[in-house]
Amino acid sequence: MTQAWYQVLALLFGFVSAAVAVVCVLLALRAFVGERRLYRRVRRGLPGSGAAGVLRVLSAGHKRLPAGTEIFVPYEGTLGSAHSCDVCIPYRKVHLRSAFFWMQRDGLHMVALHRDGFHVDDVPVEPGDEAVMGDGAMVTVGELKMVLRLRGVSSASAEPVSGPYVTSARRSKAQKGRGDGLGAPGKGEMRREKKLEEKKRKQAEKAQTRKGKDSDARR
Amino acid sequence: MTGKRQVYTARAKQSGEETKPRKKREPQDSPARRTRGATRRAPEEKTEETALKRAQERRAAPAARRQKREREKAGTMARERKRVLVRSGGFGVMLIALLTAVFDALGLLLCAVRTEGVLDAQALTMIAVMAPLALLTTALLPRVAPVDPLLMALTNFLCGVSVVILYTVSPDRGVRQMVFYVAGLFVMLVMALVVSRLHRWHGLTLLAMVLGIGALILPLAFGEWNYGAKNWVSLPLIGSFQPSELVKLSLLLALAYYFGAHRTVLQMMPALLFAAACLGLLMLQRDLGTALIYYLTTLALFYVACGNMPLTALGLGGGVAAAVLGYQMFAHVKVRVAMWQNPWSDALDKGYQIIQALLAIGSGGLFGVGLGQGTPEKIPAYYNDFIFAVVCEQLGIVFGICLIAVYVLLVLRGIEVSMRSRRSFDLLLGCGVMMLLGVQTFMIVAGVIKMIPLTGVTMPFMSYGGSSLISCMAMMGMMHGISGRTREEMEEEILTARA
Amino acid sequence: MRVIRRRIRLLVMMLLCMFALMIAYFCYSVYFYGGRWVSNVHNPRIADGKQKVIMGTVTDRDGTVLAYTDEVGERQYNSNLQTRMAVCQVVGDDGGKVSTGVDTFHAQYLLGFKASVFERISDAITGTPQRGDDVQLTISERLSRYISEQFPEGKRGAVVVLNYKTQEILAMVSLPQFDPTDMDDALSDEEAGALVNRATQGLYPPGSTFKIVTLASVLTNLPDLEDFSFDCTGYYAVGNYAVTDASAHGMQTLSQAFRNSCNTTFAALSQELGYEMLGETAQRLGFNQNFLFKDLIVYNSSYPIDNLSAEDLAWSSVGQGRVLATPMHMAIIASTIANGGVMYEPRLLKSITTVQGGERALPRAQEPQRVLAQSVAERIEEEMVRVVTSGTGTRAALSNGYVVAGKTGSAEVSDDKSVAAHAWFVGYITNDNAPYAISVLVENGGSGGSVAAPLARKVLQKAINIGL
Repeated sequence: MTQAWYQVLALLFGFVSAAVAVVCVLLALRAFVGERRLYRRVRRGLPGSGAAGVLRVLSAGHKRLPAGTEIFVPYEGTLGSAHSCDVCIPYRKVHLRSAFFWMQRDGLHMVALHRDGFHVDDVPVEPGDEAVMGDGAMVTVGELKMVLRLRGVSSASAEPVSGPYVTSARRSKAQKGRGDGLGAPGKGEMRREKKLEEKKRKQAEKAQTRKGKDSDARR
Repeated sequence: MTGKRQVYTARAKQSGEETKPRKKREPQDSPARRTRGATRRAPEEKTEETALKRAQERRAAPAARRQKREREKAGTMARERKRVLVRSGGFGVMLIALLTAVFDALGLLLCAVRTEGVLDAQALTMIAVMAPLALLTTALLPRVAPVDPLLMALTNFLCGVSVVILYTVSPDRGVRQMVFYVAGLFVMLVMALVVSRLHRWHGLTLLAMVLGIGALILPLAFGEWNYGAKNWVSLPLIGSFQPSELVKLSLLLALAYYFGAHRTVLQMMPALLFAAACLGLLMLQRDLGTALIYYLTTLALFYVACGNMPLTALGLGGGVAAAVLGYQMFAHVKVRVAMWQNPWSDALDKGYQIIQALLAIGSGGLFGVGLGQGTPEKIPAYYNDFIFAVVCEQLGIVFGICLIAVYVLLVLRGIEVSMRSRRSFDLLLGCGVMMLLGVQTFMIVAGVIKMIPLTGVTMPFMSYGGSSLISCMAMMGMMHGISGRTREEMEEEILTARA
Repeated sequence: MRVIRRRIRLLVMMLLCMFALMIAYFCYSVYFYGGRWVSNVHNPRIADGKQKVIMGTVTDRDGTVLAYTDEVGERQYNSNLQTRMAVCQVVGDDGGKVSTGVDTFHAQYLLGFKASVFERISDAITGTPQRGDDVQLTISERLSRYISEQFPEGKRGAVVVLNYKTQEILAMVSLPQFDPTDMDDALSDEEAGALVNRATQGLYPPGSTFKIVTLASVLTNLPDLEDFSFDCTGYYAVGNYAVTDASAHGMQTLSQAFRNSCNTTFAALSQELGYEMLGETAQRLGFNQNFLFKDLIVYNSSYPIDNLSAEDLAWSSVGQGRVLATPMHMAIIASTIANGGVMYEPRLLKSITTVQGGERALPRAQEPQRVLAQSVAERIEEEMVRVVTSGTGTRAALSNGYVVAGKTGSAEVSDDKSVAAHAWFVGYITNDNAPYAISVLVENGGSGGSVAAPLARKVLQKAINIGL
């Protein structure tokens, strides 16, 4: 290959590479826009996609939130009367950003920031308190009563988390900081959970064997 | 006349009745047009009987049609859901991968035949690595690992261009860049798996922070000054590397972890302190360009996470003050700014770099002087900071602009991926990665074309250098991990919805 | 989460804007400066190209060869010493010491950087060594040589002759000159500044020739000053200083003041105008503007537009103080007046011929711009004709029915020791059959009317005789 021919090829390659680059950019743009549209359409077809659960309004207090309205609760976010809040409760009494919440495996954790009449199952939640809500928890904000329906949790643990939701330990934890916000319990928590489960199982087994023994005895 | 009027009122009533209930069910559908089409035929009716029949038919027909349409809609919805579930990127993305492979192969082939009468076997071997890698990583990898095909394809394109260009200007560096690229792919894969699987970040973040500070101290302790900075260190076994590139990962992790989940400013403190420590150490290393990237990323994420305008403005003001102070303190910053304002005043010494870059870009013209042609080695640091000028000289300005467009698309896609995630940690991590890459690209490209003063940072994916490429690939791994996690959740939702 | 997403969207928009801005800047700078970057002296690719490519030939408008490459590959210049020296700064030299010379500035043509793929392919097929394009310039070697001969002995300066109908540069001569075949000699005496093309790179105070600009500003902005008159006592106190004149002119109308080049009257007018109006007119006429001409590099002329003190303003109105202009720019102003107030880009390239014999497209000039109203330009022309018929520029008058319009200038400059005056003459022939605009500058020549005007007359007469 002589130098002159190499030059010709190199120049031609310049055109080829420019064409390749332009086509790649256009294709990438098309793929980007197309995938985005597809994703949005699919999400529209899946109501509550990306939500951890739903808050169903019970009391008919507000004309914008009549009874039966469902508010989607994302895995993490804020609650307040501002439109930008993930859970918007458009009451004048409620602060713009009144609380924030996040999902963990044991339920929905919520830290109140203001005294806006927060109650969880009729237990008042003071500012700085961390409340843990399971499936079926009654949440009161101001005069608005709602019931929490969680998606994943209810199937994972058969029985709903029972109160009390607001503990002093929780309170100190809330002041110290937050968990990962990733919905995963810590190692210690997991260990404790496992132990509890095992205890329960053993008790249940014991109870069964006792029952069996009893029945045997009766026979 | 009266009959017509009746028809019109009937139409109005009918369409009103028709549209109202439908609108509730199918907001994006427009049945109004169809009903209007049906009534347009109405004036032709002559007897009342036929009119009645027609009316009945009309009432019946929409129901059937509606059913049919709903069936169709359900069908398309199912199809679309299936398409979302498919893990490969589709035709367009595959075509990008193919074009990348073709570009790599042709470019390296050209390198192989460059010298008269000799066929460069090394270049041919490289074709055998680069071209299949570009295809396989895009086509197969997304099926077996959490990898976003479009991001992967764009990354491959950039890395391919980098390897080809570096091979033409200095074959040795080209080969090493390819090795780094392959290593980077592994790092990316590991990172993607870790990010998509790991749910507990506390320990890892702490570890990353400690390691980050330690790594940044290394060059101060063992490094040597070169180009007015002390940011390289060579360790036994690993070889020489630039810790500030790798610590970017620690920074992003720390910021995402401590800024996530709606914390108060006080609770964000660990990350802010870590960022401040990094900035201080980088200042001591005189690595001001990297310090600027760290600073801007931190500020951007701080604003995103807490939206506290006064504090963000304070941070911005502090940055400006630091910049002014730096300008006064460091002579080489002053020189950089002066050379940005008028490089021609000292064209042979201080303005030499930037002028040579501009001359190279200008000499390339629209379509370049050709691969392997031109005299890129006249530009100082042509293989890392000024690689954009080399690309523009050899492949032309059109290609250069397309390259910038690829970066923009990469950032857009990355942001799109992270926007879909459900947790603020993922969101902030993805956003941070993309902000960092975007800002870095902007800083170096704008610096090379003399739009802003030159800051000595590398061009992501393009510049020669193992630390830079591997850290960029690891960042892309984070993006893939985030996308994988969201995708899994989405798949679960689709499957439960189907059930 | 929603808030976070919104903030991210905002940041991404900002980032996108930055990238859009960057691409726009990139396109802009490459479009306007790209050519200049290629043809820069510091571009190592030119020297590189000279090693590999046979450089093309440079000819004048009549086809006289000014520079060519011989069989050995050496760059050779015209065999006649006078010719060689007369066009030395325009053509430049082999080593790129004259940064604005054609040999450097148009190296991208001469070295075949612009050759298309097809031309490269034909080169490769025939196996001929690569050869650059041939460039034909608009300058006339004969006129240039005549100007060099007629220029006052031992003086420095520059002469520019433009065809204001075609915008071709007919001559661009700068003195002192050097011999491109004997560069050692030129380099040994770099103090003399022979390597600088004074016509395009020399910035001089324009002196009274700037009164054309002041007059244009008066006629544009203060039309009610037509029947204005001023009593010149040779002294006009303004601020802490005074504007002086060589002699008292007595009562002056606007027209008389222009004809007699009365400084005090123009100083008084400038106070009426203010620096904003005068500055605006000056900028419209190209002061402070970045001339990005495609064919040649012309340094920026400057007119101070920051808040001027009264005396600075008064002095600037008569082209003294911080006002600086190149002879080329003054010639462009003259041709703008001649064209009725429309400013054109001057051209230096007449044609570019490829090795295969085809014509390469010339770089496109900027769109002509109307900078002065037709009526204003006509009125200035009237006044400039009067300057030559009965004012300071009578020695520039031509016979045989050719009417010259012009303005003389004697710009005072002082170094530490002495005060001297640059002699200026800026003007043009109004006749359609000889559309020549001229700008003459003789450094430290003395009075414009007695030194520059006669030279301008000779040059214009020669141009008519040659019939360019």
